[in-house]
Order: sequence, then C-alpha cells, then structure tokens
Amino acid sequence: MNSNAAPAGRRIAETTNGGRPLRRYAGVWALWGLAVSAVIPGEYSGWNTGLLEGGFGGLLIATLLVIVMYLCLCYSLGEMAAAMPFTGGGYAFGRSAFGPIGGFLAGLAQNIAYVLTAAAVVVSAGHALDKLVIILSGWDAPDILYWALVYGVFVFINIYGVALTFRLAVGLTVVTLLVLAAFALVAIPNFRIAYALDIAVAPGGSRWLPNGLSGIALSVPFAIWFLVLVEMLTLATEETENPETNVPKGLIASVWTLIVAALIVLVLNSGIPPGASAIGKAPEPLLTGFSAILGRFYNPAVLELMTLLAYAAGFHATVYAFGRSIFAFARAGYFPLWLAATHPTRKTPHAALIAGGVVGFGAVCLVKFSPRALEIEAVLLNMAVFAATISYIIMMLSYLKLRRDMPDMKRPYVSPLGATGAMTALVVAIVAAFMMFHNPSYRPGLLGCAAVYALGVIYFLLYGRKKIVTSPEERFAMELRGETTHD
Amino acid sequence: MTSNQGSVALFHQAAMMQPTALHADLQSSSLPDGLYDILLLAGIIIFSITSLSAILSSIFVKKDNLLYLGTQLILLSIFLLLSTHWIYGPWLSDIFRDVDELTRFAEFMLFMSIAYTLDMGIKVFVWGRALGPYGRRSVPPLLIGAVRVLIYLFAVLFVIQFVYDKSITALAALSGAFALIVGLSAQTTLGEMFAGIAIALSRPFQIGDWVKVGNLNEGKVLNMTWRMVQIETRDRDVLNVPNRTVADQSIRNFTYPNRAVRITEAIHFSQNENPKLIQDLLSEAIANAPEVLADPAPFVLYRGAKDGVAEYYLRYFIDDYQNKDIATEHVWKNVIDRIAGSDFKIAFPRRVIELSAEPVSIAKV
Repeated sequence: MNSNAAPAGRRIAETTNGGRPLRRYAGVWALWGLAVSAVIPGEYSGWNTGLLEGGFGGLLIATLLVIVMYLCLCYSLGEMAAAMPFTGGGYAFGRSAFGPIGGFLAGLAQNIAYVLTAAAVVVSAGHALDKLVIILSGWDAPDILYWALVYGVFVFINIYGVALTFRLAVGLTVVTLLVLAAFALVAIPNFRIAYALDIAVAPGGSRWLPNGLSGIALSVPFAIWFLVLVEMLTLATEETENPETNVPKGLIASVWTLIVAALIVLVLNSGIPPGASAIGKAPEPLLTGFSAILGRFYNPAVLELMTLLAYAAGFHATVYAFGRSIFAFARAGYFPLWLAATHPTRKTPHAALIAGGVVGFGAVCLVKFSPRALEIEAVLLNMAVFAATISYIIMMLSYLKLRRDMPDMKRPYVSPLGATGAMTALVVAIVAAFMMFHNPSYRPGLLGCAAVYALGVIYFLLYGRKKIVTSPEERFAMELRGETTHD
Repeated sequence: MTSNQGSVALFHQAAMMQPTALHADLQSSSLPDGLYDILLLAGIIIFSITSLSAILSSIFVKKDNLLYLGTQLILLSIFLLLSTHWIYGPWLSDIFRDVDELTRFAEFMLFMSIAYTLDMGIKVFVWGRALGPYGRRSVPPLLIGAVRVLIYLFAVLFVIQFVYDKSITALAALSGAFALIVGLSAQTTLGEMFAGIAIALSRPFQIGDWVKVGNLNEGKVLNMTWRMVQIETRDRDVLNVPNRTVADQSIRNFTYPNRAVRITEAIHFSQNENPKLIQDLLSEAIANAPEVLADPAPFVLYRGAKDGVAEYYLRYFIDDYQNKDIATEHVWKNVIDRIAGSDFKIAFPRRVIELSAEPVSIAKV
C-alpha cells in the first residue's frame, strides 16, 4: 500500500466506516420497491423502438431471450451479493475475482451506467414536467431549469435518509404498477393481434418477423430496456437487514415482477390502436396507447402526471444507485476519498450523491449544448445501457471465476442455475453488446462510453491504483485472494 | 432428389396460401409467421444458447454443469421436434434429405438427451448425494458402469422401436436367445457379476477398509472388480476372493462404522497384590503408547484369581487397524518397563499336579 495513502485511508475509514456508516433499514419489500422503481421507466418508454427493428415477433423473441438473461443474472447476483454483502456491488465482485483492475473496470462501468441513466431519465422527466406545466399553466420554462429542479429534489431526498428513500421508492413503485394494471385493464378489450403486426414487411421478412431473423438481434438492445438496472439492488446490501437472505429474495421478487410487467406492456401496448408502427415511433408509447383507447375521455394532465411519476420513480432509484456506487468506489480509494464521506446524522453518502448529481447534470448540459444535434436522451441512455451490459459481462465473469477458483467460499445463497446460468447471462450479454455495435443509432453513445471508459482506465493505471485503501470490499477480497499488500 | 423437390413445392404452396406471400418470395415465406411458431423459434434460440453455455461452463468452470446440459438439450430437442415443419425449408434442407429425416434426428436427439440427463442426474443425485454421505467413499465404479450401460441400452432400444419403427420384439427375442447362450456359457462369471452388484448395494465394506472374510487372512480391500474383491494382507500379498465367496461368507469389518478397534491382551500377577494399584499402573503404561486412543480410554479389567494367579486384561483402542501389531508391541514395552520400575512381578499360571506313590496293580485293572 502506498505510504502516503495509508493514513488518509485510515482517517476516512474512521469517519465513514467507524461503527456503521450506512444505516441498515431495508427488508425484502423495501428492496423490491427500490429495484422495481429503478426499472419502471423502461416499461413506459424506450423499448418500443425495438418494434421498428424486429417487428412484434422479433421483439417478443428478443424480450424472451433478455428475460432469460436477467433471470440468470439475478440468481447469480443474488449468490454473489449474499457472499459479498458490500455496497460496491459489481465492483466488489470484480475486485474479489480479478483483483484491483477487475474491481475498477466493473465499478467504473456501473458508475457510468447509473450516473448516465439518471441523466437520461432526467431529460424524460423534465420533458414530462414541462408538458404538465404547459397543460396546467401554459408557462414554458427552459429544460435546464426542470433538470436542475429534479436533480435537486431527489438528491435531497436521498441525503435526507434511507428510510424516506425506501418508503418513497415503494410508494412510487406501487403507484406506477397500478397505472400499468389500469392500462392492461383498458387495453385488453381493445387488443387485436393485427395491430401488433402492422409494421411494413421488408423483402425476405414475414408479418411476425418483418425484418427477418436479423431483426431479432437488432431488437435485443431495446428489449434490455425492459429490465435494465434491476441489478442496482446489489448496491443496497449494506443498508439491508440480513442481506444474506433478503438481497437474493428482493432481487428475485423484483425481476419476476418486472418480467410480468414487461410481457404485459410488450403484448398489450403493441396490440392496441394506433398499432405497432405508430407505437414504435412514439416518444411515450404508453400514453399514445392510452390516448388512442380512451378517445374523448382522454385527460392529458392526468396521463402526463402518470408518466412523470414513473420517471420520478426511476430517477429516484437511480440517484440512490449512483450515490452508493460512487461511495463504495471512493471508500476504497478508486475515486478521491472525500467522496466517501457520509452525513454525520443522516448516515447517507451525501458527498457521492452530490458529486454524481453534478456530473450527471453536467453530462446532460454537455450533450444538450454540443455542436452536433444529437438526441440527448437516446445518446445518454445508449451509453448507460452499453455500460450496464459491460458491467454484466464483468460480473458474470467474476461469478464464473469465483465458482471455479473458490468453490469452498462461503455462499449463504446458492443460485439454482449454477455456473450454467451465469454463463448464459454472459453469452447473451456479449451478444447484446455486439448488437449495440451493429446498430448505427447506438454508435455516438458507444463512442462516448468508450471515451469515458478509456479516460477512467488511464486515470486508474497512472494514479488511482496507488491510492487504494482497505475498505470492507478490499479487505474481504484481500483475505479471499490471500493478498497481503496493494500494489 | 425427388422428395426434396416435392417438399419444396409443398412449402411453396403453403406460402401461396398465406396473406403475406404477396410481398414475400419463397425464402421469406418459410420464416415463422404465427405466435406458436414464433415461440418455438424463441425456444430454439434460447435453449441453443443455454446448451452452449452449459458446455462452456463445463469446460471452463466445473463438470457439474453437464446435468444442466442434459436438461437444456431435452428442451432444445422438444422445440426442434415441434418446429420441423417450418425450420426445414429455410435452413436445414441442405443437411437433411427431407422433413422426416429431420424429425427422426430430433427424436433421436430427444431420446439420447433424456438418457444423458438420467445418467448425469443419477451421477449427481444418487451416487453423489443419496449414496454419497456416511463419511465413506463413493459407490464402486462397477455399479455405476452397470447402470450407465443399462440407461443407454434402453435409449437405443427406444430409438430403434419408436424413431425407426423397427420392432424390437425380434431383437428382444434374439437377445433373449443370445442371453441364454451367454448365460449358460458364462454362468460362473455372471454369478460373480451379480454377486458384485449385490455387494456394491449392501456395502459391507468399502475400498480401503480392513476386513476379514470368513476364515481368510485379514487385510485391506484394494479393489472391487466385476469378478473379485482384492484384499492386501499383512504379508503384503494379495488375496483375490471371488465375489460369490465374499457374498456367501460372514465379513468382519475393522474400519466401519468407525475406525477405532479394541485390542485385548492378558497379563498375570500374584494373587496377593492389590488389584487397584495394578490397574492404575497398567492403565498409565498403556496410555503412553502413541497408537493408543485417549478416547475411548484404555481400561484394565481384573478377571479374578485363577490357577494360582490374578488375571488382568489390557484393553485399549487403536485408530488404524493396520497398526495393530506395532501398537501391541509398544503397549507391551511400556507395560514391561513400568513393572520393572515397580515392586510388582509378572506371575505365571500354575497347575499343581499331585503324583501318588501307590503302585498300580495289574490285577486291579
């Protein structure tokens, strides 16, 4: 360990880890609420572009494949989170399996994913808020004001306390799921399979697969939006009572809830007026569907509020996620140590929350005011989804490495799908990452992600790796791997 | 070739009947176009990936995943079997002669996957778990081999009967006659084989155990084969005992249920000594021998006075029956050393025979 870094590390360790820096609060249902709320904007929008890529049949196949991947992922993550109950999540797993560089790569990927997802969701939330305000008062404020407002409110709530954070997440989850249930109830009588199959058939395609088999592959990145970020639950382990049992249970309950929600949305939202080709282009497919069904009963303000709640749910959980992810990374010295400070009375990582908020807000503004006209939300979300996919690849590699090299490691929860499950998630994640490369509309996002990643790796190799201190994740990994010093 | 052309024509007709055929050529018409077929395609894609993953994880992580491979291959075969009507045209017409051949291949794959899964399932759950515990070593390879052969034999018979529609009655009759001939000519060997399976199931001993079979010399079990049990005696020679002999004889096992074995030796002292003092002295001497177990503790039993001396039994437990002789030697050396340093003396049983001087008269007899 670097001699300069050690005292600083110890000092931070005293201030942030002395006693219990984070408060243990959550049970299974609080965890369920948090994870579902993180993913719920994905059921409201984003997925629908996949209809244009693969048609209804293609997107259905891609969604089933992605569901298999997330099931495998969640059972495997449950096993790792129970064995390594630390806030670092993917960073802790990568660190234990592949050493500091593995931990850094996994941690950086998840940090990018959470910070940028928040940034992307804030654009949607700002858009919805703007529309709502216009409907209600006719006042059209600049976007940047709404973004700052949304960031401010939810960073504040997250700093205020973990109990409020979890309660709000469960509340928002229940409300947004009820909206989905209401949508399903009105959509079922209007469902006609012909609506879902109205996409123009390209030469060589069929009605169900208008773009042929390649359409399935192209729609995989969009199917991921149905479930992406459910893995953020692994970041809540240090704030969970009995994480060894509750985190796997929470993960599995969340992923099954979201699978049901995803299938309902996919089938019902595609198979109602105005039809899949219009839904595929709609910025808010659920609202488009609602308004088409409800006709003259359509109340734009109420529907806009529903969407806003979904974005609020997602944003709230994502703020929680980047706060914990940055906190754990800084606590180990991969980021500057002052980011690991926790609030003396609130027991929340306020420095990390504020820093993540500032960076995310900066990213939105950067993309917004960049010279080339880019679809900011799409670019940010593509970057985030790609980074999340990279983190899945590293986490599953970690799982497989630990299963092979540390078969006797203490595992309070064992995935029923075993190494095959993790390997399946790995294979699908690699296919998905490859398909993102293949899609031209993803490229600006991927290049942005690659640039941030490259900068991060250079920082780590030149500077960060000398600053690592003994955080709980590091201590666990060093004991597991039989390491004596950081190099 | 004619059947191939025929099936293509059939596909063409089917395509013409579908509404999408208007803007679709022959190639496209064979893409799945219905919920059922789409779900089948999803199943094929998903289970191909999971099968591939099971193979990869078996190679790179642990062989345990072969059981998963079996289950995934079963699911893949089922989905393939249900999809033969549309999957043949676009992708598999170069590999298989007609749809029937593809169907037979899928059925063959299904039966073999089931056999493979059974094989792996028995390996994991029966040999590994149900019969695995008790702190003893795993089931002998003999039984495992027999079960595996049976599983695959049945799978092949099923394939012949149901996939290729060749009745196995004739085969069964033939194999019955064959079995009769083989059975008669190899009666002894077969008897040994079944005795071997019986031993494997009842498990009176395990490879590595110290046993005594009937009146044969005691020794350590080296191996259990189809025909015989090999026992290495203390002289380092190997007794090859036919399985039937082992199955018929009573077997004394020194290693099971636990490795501790009690050894008893007799020693005598004068009737006049205090038994309590002698017992303490001897107990201490025995306990100092390195092979003797502290728990259960050694014990000296006072057997009472017989033949002019007091008899004592030295009783102690050793951990490894292989060390019986060396343990006995160490115990005796310790006992003799302790007695030499004490006032006690080893006595010898005596019988007094009184001789009478009276002459024996022949007439009396």
